Amino acid sequence: EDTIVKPRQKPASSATVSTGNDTTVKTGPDTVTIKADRVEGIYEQEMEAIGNATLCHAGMTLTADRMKYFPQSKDAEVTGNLHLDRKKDFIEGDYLKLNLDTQVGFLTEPRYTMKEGDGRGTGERLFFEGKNQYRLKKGEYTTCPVDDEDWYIRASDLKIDSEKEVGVARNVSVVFKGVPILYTPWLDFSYTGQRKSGFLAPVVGHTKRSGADLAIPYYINIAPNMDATIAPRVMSERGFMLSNEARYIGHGVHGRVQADVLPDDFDTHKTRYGISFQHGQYLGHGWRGQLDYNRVSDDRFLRDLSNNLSQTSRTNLLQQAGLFYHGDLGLDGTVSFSAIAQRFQTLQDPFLPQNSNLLIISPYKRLPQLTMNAIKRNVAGMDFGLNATWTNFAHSSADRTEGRRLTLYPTVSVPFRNSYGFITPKFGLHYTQYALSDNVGTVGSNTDRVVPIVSLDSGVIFDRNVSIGGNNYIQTLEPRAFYVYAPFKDQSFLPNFDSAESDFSFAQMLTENRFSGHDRINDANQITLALTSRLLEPSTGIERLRAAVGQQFRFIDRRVILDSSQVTSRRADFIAALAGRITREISTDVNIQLDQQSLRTEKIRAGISYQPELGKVINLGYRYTRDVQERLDIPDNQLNTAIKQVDTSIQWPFFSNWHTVARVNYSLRDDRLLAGLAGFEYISCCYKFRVVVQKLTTATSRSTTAVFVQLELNGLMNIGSNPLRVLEQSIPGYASIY
Amino acid sequence: CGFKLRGQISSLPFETLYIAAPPGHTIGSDLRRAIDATTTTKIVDSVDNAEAVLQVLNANNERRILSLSGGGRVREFELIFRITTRLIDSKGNEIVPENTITLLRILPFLDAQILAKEAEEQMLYQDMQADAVQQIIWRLSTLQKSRFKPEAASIQ
Amino acid sequence: ERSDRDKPIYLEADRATVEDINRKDSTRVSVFTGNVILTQGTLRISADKIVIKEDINGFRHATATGNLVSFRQKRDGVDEYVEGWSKRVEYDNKIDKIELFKQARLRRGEDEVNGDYISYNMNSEFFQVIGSHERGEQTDTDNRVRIIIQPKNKSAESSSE
Repeated sequence: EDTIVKPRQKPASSATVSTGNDTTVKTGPDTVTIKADRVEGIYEQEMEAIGNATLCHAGMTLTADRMKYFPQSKDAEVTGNLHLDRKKDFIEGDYLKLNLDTQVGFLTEPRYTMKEGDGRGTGERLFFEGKNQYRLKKGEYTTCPVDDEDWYIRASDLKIDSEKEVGVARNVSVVFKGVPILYTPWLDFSYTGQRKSGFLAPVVGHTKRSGADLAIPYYINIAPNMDATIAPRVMSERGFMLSNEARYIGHGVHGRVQADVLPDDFDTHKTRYGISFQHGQYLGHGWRGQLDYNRVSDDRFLRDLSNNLSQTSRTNLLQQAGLFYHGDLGLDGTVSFSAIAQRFQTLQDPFLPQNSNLLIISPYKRLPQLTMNAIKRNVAGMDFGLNATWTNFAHSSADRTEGRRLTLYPTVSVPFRNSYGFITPKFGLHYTQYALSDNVGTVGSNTDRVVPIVSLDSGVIFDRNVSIGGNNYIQTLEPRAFYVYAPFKDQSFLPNFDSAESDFSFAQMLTENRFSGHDRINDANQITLALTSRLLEPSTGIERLRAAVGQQFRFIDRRVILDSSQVTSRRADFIAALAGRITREISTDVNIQLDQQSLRTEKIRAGISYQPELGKVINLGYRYTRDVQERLDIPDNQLNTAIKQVDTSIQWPFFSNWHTVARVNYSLRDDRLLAGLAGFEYISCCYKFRVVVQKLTTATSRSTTAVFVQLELNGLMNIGSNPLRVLEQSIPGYASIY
Repeated sequence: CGFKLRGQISSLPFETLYIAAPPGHTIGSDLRRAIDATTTTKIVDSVDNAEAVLQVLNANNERRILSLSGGGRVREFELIFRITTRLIDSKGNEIVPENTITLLRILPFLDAQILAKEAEEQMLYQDMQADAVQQIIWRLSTLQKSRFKPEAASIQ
Repeated sequence: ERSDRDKPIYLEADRATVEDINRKDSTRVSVFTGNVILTQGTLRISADKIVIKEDINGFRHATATGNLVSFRQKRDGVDEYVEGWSKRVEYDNKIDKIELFKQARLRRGEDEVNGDYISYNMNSEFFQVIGSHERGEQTDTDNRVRIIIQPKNKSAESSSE
């Protein structure tokens, strides 16, 4: 062929030829971009990138010395210090064969690190089984830093879903400091702490009452707003028990069901069970429904089978259903209404001789009780109030009078208020009508009682700026005077369904009736003077410290009394209290009540706590209540409220990451330890190890000792029973360190 | 000794306030009654014509066992009242961040008097609630008027 | 396309100097400068200057230089073009191979290849791309080869040549 040369008539228009510098090439998510020092191959069949090669595809970046890519099938083969960097993880290895589309392939000698949480590990071979799905053969997983592997789990097969951030391992052994401490054929976990169904840490323990004790709880994450925990439990002395707890929460609804059953107790050869059901629901327009039902098969169920103080100490199990309303009553008024049906299951102290006269008196049942409380203010300068109740009292034992009681207590008060003080006279008429099952004294089964109550409340507030210890405060001075008059009405013949003498306190001394409930209205002619002083921070108004003193002057000998079983404090009439923060690190709460004539202390509550920083707290406490009844002969007279106890607790770090926790609640009066706790926590970078021993008094001369041993592997799980809740309840100011 | 009459009627830095409290709970009406009675601020019942909104995020009662008897029975409960509030202005930007007031009272307990103690417990909770309301008002009264001046002008 | 090789070659240029056949090694060199455009069937090269060496039995070798010489050719049996740009292009008609030197860029459909040197054999479609790093050249940008492969929607996949 020959070359034909045509001279050009006109200059060639360059428009037809692109100069090629429009470098914008759209790269979509599925575009494959390869960079390397050198690339060669057959177009669309095979490419080999050599030298510092990287491949980017769909958010994934693959770097290695050498890689082959087959565009047709989108397979990639990569070797030579390979790094795979993806959204949720970062993987290295020797040889990778992976299909970019299906994300299926394998990687030899994998070393992976999760970007969320600090999970990482190695293995013999890592299989990619689709988007975000891996399977690690003979793999290891830990959350410890690279150089100090305190623990790791080794599994023959570890399947990880990095989308749901959960893992399932088979024949797993947990190796702690080189020692395999746990083997389980199957283990599933969520490595970012999400709620996930799976086995929780087994609870191991030993108690005198139930012998060796092993429970393996299984958590079921039913739905985002519902979960359940089923815990099969085996006890050497009592046999097999199943305890289940379910919780649910919704819009305006929440509830919890706890059902434990022990089919055949080796010791008592009976079936034993415990049920507890709480449900709360907001019904709209101010209405609220509430159910709280608790029942156990026998008196010793809780004491024998629970290590939880709030259960072992319970005597009356509430069984109540209620409907409540609170809303506005016109412009300046509110009205509250409640209807409850309530009864109790009373548990006798199992270790007292049956016939002793110390059987616990079970409370009256209220089937039902209706209450209404309305307030209407600013009516021609006066505030009106009405408190009404109607109750049907029933009782299981025949010798207790039953009956229906209606109470109406209308009040009117005239609040005089000006710029510096207030004076509020108040007049109320307390009307009560009884319809009883049998005659009461001479009056027959129907009787009523009317008691007028007059009170005058007044107070004023002074303040000044003051500087203490270098920082300045506003100090207030709030004198207050509260006079109450109520005539004596003989009520000795009336039944007593729900009244008792309230404990003398700052709150109680400024109320009209020293008896709680409605069966007794005290005769009163007394004035209570109180003086409160607070230190407020000027910039924020936050109250730092409060000191208060109060005295009640009784002008008459009070003739309405209750029998001793209904009285908790005798004649205290002087009270002094100091509460708040003395310095930035020390806070205190002291409360003393005296009988002013005899200068005998009735009650002392003294507590001081020193908390320089989180994780360091020392609490010292002393509690004293003088014995009300003189019947000291009965060892644990359940009517006796005398207390003489010391309660100290501490959480303190020592050395670099050791923490010690301890609590001693020692009764000086009974000369025994009521509640004790001691333990230590070792917190390292990727695990926490806790040992806590707890001793609780569960009944007269009976106590239970529980040992909590817990190893918490960060990001994986905790092994052993969890003492955290116990620590938070026993040591005020306890902080669990992260 | 330098004391001067503080006066009951304290002045809050806003003329109108809306109280957003959980429904069916008495805290809302207690706050309304106390602010009405002891401050110059008027409570309004809709957000749009309020200069400030006091949000009661939660107010709940808790009970913890404090002392046990020799026989392991409860002799004293510690009653805890916690209330968390936050103040925002009419446009929703935060004036006072979320803060919690925690108050404690001691309830001596006898199983034999459980019904009476239930009434005493309610009385103590109400006393704590009133105490917390008082503290909230004191904290609000220390806010500077300037926080509200600009908006206040635009409201009228 | 493969059939391009049998097509006549057209050359346009502002100026052209053509030599006689050189008796000794029976080659002829012709130089074209100024907006030179060489077309042979679907192959088309445009550059500032093209030097063509021919031997007795036909056209053998062309060297094109310019500020981004551009080259374009249709692929066999597919309505798709291969385009390339670089500072210097060497085209050998006998083995049907084209080499692009310096700021070389080759584009096929949506896919693109960048590098310092690209060699592309039109028949076997074997290509080789080398980055400046390996050739010891110092360029300011990332001196490695870059290949962009767009996702092919399966349906339009042409049967392989």
